[in-house]
Amino acid sequence: MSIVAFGFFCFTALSLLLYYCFPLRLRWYVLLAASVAFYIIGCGWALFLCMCVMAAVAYIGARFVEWDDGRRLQWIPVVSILLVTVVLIAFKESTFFVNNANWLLGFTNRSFRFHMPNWIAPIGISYWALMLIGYILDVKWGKYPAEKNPVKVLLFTCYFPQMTLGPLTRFDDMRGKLFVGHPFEYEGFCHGIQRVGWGLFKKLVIAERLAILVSTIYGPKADGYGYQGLIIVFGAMCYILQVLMDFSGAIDIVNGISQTFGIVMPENFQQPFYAQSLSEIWRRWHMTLSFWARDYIMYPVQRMLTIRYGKTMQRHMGKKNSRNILLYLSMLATWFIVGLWHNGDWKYICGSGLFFFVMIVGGLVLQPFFDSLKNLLHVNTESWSWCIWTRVRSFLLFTLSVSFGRAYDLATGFIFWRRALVWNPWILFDGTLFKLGLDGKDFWALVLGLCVVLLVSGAQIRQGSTRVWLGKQNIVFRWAILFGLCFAVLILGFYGEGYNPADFIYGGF
Amino acid sequence: MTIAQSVCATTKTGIRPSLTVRIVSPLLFVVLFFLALSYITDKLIPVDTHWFIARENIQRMNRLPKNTIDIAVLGGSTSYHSFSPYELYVKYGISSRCLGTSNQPMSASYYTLLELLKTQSPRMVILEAEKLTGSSSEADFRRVVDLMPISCNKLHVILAHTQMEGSDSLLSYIFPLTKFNSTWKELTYKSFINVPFRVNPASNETMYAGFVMVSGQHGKDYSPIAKLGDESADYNEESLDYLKQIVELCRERGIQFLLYSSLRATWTEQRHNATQAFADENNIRYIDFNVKEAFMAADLSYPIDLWDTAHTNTFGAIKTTRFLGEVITSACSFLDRRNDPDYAYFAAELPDYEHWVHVERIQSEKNLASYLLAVTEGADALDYSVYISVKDEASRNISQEVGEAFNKIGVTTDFADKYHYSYLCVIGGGKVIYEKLASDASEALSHTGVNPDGSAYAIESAGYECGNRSIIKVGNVDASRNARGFNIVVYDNRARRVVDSVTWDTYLPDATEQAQHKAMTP
Repeated sequence: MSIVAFGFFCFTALSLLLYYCFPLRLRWYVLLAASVAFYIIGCGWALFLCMCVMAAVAYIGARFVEWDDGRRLQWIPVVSILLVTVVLIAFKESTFFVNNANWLLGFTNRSFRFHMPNWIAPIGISYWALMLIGYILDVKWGKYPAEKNPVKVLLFTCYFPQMTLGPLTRFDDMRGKLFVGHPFEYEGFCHGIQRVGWGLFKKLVIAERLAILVSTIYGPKADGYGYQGLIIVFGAMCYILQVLMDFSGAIDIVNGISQTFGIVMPENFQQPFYAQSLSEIWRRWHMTLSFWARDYIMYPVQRMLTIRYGKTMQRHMGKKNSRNILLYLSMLATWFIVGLWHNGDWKYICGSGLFFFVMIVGGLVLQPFFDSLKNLLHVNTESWSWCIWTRVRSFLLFTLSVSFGRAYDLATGFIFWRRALVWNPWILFDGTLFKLGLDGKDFWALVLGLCVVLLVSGAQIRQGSTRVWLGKQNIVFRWAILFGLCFAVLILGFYGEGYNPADFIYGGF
Repeated sequence: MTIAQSVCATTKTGIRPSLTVRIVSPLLFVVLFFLALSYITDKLIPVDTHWFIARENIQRMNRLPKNTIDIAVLGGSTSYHSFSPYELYVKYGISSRCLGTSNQPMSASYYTLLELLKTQSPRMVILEAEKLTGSSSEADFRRVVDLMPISCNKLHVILAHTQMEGSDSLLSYIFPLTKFNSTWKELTYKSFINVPFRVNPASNETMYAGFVMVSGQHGKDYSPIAKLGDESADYNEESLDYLKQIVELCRERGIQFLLYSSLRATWTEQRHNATQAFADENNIRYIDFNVKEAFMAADLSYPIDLWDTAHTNTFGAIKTTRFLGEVITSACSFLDRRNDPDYAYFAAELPDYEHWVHVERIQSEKNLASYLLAVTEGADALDYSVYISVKDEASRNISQEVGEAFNKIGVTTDFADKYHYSYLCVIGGGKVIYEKLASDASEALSHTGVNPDGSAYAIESAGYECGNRSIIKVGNVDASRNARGFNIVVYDNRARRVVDSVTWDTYLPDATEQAQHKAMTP
């Protein structure tokens, strides 16, 4: 069930009604029942049981950390983590391993090839598997005690608004939110609904239009005689904006719905295109994944390498160099896994993973050179123009890398960018843009929608939540804005009879 | 500060609205939202010809004064093109109304009747039987249901329909906006101006009591069904079921029921037989105008009374209605509503209807002499400004009959031997108000003036030797066909638009019998 489907909103409305009808102490059971029902409706009993087993594995793994005072059964939490990881890889990343194994087999004389598994993955496995791994590790590292009630671990795993698209949550953060009953808060409820509306606007009005442009540019023509020059750059920019609008719209819906239950979820985006460097973009883009990767991959790997090889390396390379090299190695592991998580394909590993490793590490290594160059040229890095330049540079580099994810494969991604090296600026003015699947009216509706998002993003940076700001305005203005938002979605949105909104991009990861 | 943090901070420290505000405010918001939604939905429902007719016939149904419809006519486009309620009113004083919509499915006819019976008590229901053996699409169904007001009947019909395979979803029927939201691109400022009922802004077709007037003649001849065989077409099972329900409903309410099939070239003997069998089985009167007997009795003609292969034009409708009127009045007695003040709303549109019938008559006139008399004589002609402009030449092949017609309307020019002469004439209110013949073949003529409604006109005539053109501009639009011979444009001061533009090429033999009318666009 898509989170923009009418059925989903009916389901949510019914859940809300029941939630607030029950006494406070029982309200989290309503959430649990709704989440279980949602899961079973969405993917059936078998996959629900699979998810339950994984939640049970995590529960047992975490509980053994506390039970095992003698440290004789320390392997059990590790096995739990491995089990969850193996299930995640089996369902989501097996294509990557089978493809690469078959590719390697191609160099041998044997005709044997692995068959591609055709498994249907449980909903949201990419999200809840990482959350469960994080939970076991946190308990193992002693950050907080293991949960005694297995049903609460189940709810943490399958909380229905968050299940399909995240955000990735931490058990200690959610413990105080999911498992307590929240009283009805008028403001929070209204803000939640407003945020859902804003998410729908991003998804149905903007992302769906961008999807049409992107599909045309990256469509069948891309393989042969297709587009070239600036239109490729335009297509890549559209794709990156589509991903942002699609994913941040989904998170707005998820977080908005959670807020109507009184549950404040972590944010996943913080105006990423206002970032001035690639590393900053990753601190603003899919933040919960970035922080998860930092806390559960990068820091532990760095710590492990330091313990094992730190002293040896310090002896040979010096303290600073060895520290940097260990940091870069841990970053390499992190970015590889982040790329792999996006879907088992080299285009993601290189585009969404290793590229950033190269750029960020390259930036760090070359930092002294860039600094001396700026000093030599007397560049004022405090100026407005420098700020704009760094934002544009970051956006373009981010676009360059992430756009590989939209190409058919890594090779096509390179072919695509090679075709971009044609100078044809006239396509911006000769009506070509109106021949990419959107007519003039739809195109300008898209531009208007993006301007509104830009305006709201700017306002959020300056004064925090726009919904709080809106709540302080007089009723006529406030309602005019809200009616405008509602009818923009209802009239300009791509939905309804005979139209299937494109699947959420991050729903496929 | 993140959004989440700022929300929490405000919730904790902000000013809490009072309980009344917290209850009344959302309720008011929801009410206003649904009112706005209803308005927007209405604007987004398409405005093409089919939808326009459905709006007139279905939406307006509930706005009519209660118990003022004696006869309700249901069916598809063949019903509202073949039955003219004002013909019955003029002759018998019967108040009737077409409630047909394009390709109206039988299920929609049934629920339309149910909806009608909430406010009206018709004595007779007439159904055009095409759908008993034909099929309809989802769009045909929607044209009725989407325009029905919210009611139990609407809910019933939606629930019954959406259970069928391939139908649109229940949601799209409850909120039609989800179906039609993509039509926002077709909205213009005109969409938000209330267009008067009766006049379709897309085609300028006029409607009177649900009857859609169309001019133009198909021209091709066909043969009515002369000899009936035994073969029978298959019934549309769903239609058959609903037709039985309609018949049953009429019996329960004591309403007379009549089936008919309008004239069309596409009707078959098998479909007639199937419909006749149903009528016989249910003891219903059935009249098929495609069968020779009724065809002859109604004095119908395929080339004259059809405007395409499936629909009658205004004249075909008038003949059909007059024939049905005789049948109806012989089977059932009706009160004469002509002087009844409750029916004043019905009578109010009669002059307009008669005027447009007259307009259609001139639009289909082929003979020049008859045309000249039609645009200058009678009450309706008082509304016309008629411009005559000659291009090339207009002196040859003018029959004595045409010459007499010219003289009768007040034209003094003798066209004989005026080969390649320019000529202009303006007739207003049935009288010649300007006329000029060139002094020789080398002189071109022009004239300007103002119509009674204030619109300006500018006309020019140039014979073959001095420019060879005809221009008849009303406002800024040149309406002349600019063809050889007499170019005539008729401007209707009541409707404030050109209603006909025609040429008689007098260079050709028998030309005065062969008008070439220009298709009129809004």
